[in-house]
Amino acid sequence: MVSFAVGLTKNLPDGRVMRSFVENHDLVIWRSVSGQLSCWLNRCPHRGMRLSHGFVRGEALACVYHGWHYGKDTACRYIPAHPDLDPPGTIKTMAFRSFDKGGIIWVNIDNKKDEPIIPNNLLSVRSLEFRCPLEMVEAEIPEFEYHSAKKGLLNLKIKKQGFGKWIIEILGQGLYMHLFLHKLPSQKCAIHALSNDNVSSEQRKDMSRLLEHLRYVSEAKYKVLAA
Amino acid sequence: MNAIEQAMQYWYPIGMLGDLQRSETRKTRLLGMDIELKTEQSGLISVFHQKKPWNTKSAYGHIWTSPSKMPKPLFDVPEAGDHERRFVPCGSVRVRCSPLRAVENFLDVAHFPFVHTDILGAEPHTEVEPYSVNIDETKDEVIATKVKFYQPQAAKSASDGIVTDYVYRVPSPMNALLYKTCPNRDDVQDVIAIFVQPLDEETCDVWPWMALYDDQSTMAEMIEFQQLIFLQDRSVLENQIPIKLPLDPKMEIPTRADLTSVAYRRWLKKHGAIYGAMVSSTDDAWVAAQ
Amino acid sequence: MNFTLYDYAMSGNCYKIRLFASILDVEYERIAVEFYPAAEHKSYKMLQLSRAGTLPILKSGDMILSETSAMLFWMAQKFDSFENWWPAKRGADLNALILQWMDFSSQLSKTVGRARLNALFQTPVDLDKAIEGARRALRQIESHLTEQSFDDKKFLVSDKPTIADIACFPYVALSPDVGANLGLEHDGYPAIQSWLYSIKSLDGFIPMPGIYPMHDLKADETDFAGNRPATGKVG
Ligand code: FES
Ligand SMILES: [Fe+2]
Repeated sequence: MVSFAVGLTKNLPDGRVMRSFVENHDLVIWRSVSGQLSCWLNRCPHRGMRLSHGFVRGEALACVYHGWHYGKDTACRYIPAHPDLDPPGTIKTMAFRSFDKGGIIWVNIDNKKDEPIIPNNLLSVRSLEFRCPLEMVEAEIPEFEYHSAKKGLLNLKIKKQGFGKWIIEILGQGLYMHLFLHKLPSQKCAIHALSNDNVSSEQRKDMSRLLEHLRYVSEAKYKVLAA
Repeated sequence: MNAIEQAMQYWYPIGMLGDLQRSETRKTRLLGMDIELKTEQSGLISVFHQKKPWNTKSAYGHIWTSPSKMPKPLFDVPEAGDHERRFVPCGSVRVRCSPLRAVENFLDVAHFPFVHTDILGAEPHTEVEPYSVNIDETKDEVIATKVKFYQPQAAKSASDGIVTDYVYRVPSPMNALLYKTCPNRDDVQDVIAIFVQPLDEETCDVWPWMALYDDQSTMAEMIEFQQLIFLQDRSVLENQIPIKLPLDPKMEIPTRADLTSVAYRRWLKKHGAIYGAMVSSTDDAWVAAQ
Repeated sequence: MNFTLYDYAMSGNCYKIRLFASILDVEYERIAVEFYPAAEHKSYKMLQLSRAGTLPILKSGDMILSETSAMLFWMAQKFDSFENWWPAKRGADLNALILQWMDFSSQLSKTVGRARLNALFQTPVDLDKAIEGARRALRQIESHLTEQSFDDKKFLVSDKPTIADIACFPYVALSPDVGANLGLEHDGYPAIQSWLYSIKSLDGFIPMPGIYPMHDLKADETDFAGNRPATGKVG
């Protein structure tokens, strides 16, 4: 697997910045005002500041420490302390291949072309961070049961689609959810979840709560294990 | 001499004068060592590490200690004897960063418009004009002079924007002072210092101290202003990678505005003052960050 | 002056009042109190003013308020003639929900707020408990905001901000001050990030230490390619 799901497209609108991780690489992911996505190492070459604290100006990402602006091509375009200087081309950030597909932001750290397979009509549910390792959640999902407050015990059909990829179908309700597991440093992980698109706001809330319950059980088990 | 032995030769601030209660013992840390700061009923102050006493002294509003039997003399701040000034210790703020990064940040003006927005700097006034840096050979200090920067509100007592003149002094690796235009008088300069207590290589308590000509502001206002500025820096300092200060010039990219920082890093290297520093780009933590 | 605020710039609770006053464009007299290191808010003089021994204190005529929720409510009643921030006429449910999140904001002060004071000034606290509580509070607000977004609502109780948002904003925004890897940075909370962004975008928004300003420039100040400002050298 070369492409990693690092977040939901809807959580990164134009002009915004987020932080994520792939295989212990601390990353800044940002979208320019015109909508172009970039993913770089989360460190400003100047004095090492995390670029995820920065801000987007037009088609550039600016570092919050001294305001250096980096263009989409990773080159430093503007150094505010020297407004008349054309920054040397050697000042660059380090980029990784990133793209949106099917409502997910994907990052590809070996920069090889790889198109993840995902239906393109899914609706985002949410990204949820877990304070337990990915393996814990992988082990939990096949056993998972969920009592909805309104509908009682749900009849779930759970299918593994590959490492860290699951589909949970809620039978009898015409609902299914795609889960993309995402390994994070320090024994943490996240799930990025999408559902089929013809769902009501109530149904989305139900699915969001189902995920919270999955987190609750996984973390509880991890606590017992860690203790 | 290794990093810690080198660092042990200096004096470090560990408390604020006047803040200690009689018959009180405080625990703190210095250079990775647990220490106790005891105040007797008589007011006498002593410092112990593993029950052994260390040297102490009072200066510039603070209690200082050194693990060394014969520490290098504490640097001189002549302005501390000027009784027209108001002396303002501000307590300490804990920061998870290298003590050297804290000092370097203090020496930097280019961040003012972005970190201290509308106070110490504001866009579009971002340019750092050329200034000079040298090493004062007799005192063995890094000195930067003729630093100028446009400031919307240079001090608590300033009402309008002014171009402020700065002189910076680094008398020892973890202490720095600046002399800046006094908004109320043009014949004198205000003094602001940070005294850094290294708890370990990646954590420090920073003790700001000021000697100001300001007869308008209350003590609460002056302290608040300095704390506010430093807390803005703290958000940046806790997010620099790597945590330790890189001394290999290949690891970070300075410009002309960073001359003070460049001189500071060289001076640290020359003295082997590398406690809190990352010396080479083959260091594990650096490789991991790539 | 409309009122006097006994204030400390580093306090998230005090910031609620400064922020709301700025948004409503209300002038007031500000008195700095040395919360740290002198603990002046616990001094005899300050206790005479407010027995609570906390900051901020809002004084208007003979009225003294020491709870920020009451201050926000009072300010909305007094200075917001359009009733946007406390929409009294929009029904019992909405008002109850506002009150609920205002109450919730005191949990944020007790958890995030106290853990932060410890991180900055080593103020004594049961740190593990405060951090655990802080994380639970952030998760609660994150899940709630996620559900709000399904109904196209950007704020805590409605599609428009209310005093509940002002009450909860500071300590949610300041949670990264507590430290890294505690589940208190904003990375894992996308709904919170959007909400913080919406509040920072409000007219009259002001920052405080620990909360970055937006650094937004007017459209004509940078060119679209991210090159230096078209005006070149300025100032
Ligand atoms: S560290 Fe990024 S601009 Fe200086
Ligand atoms: Fe600063």
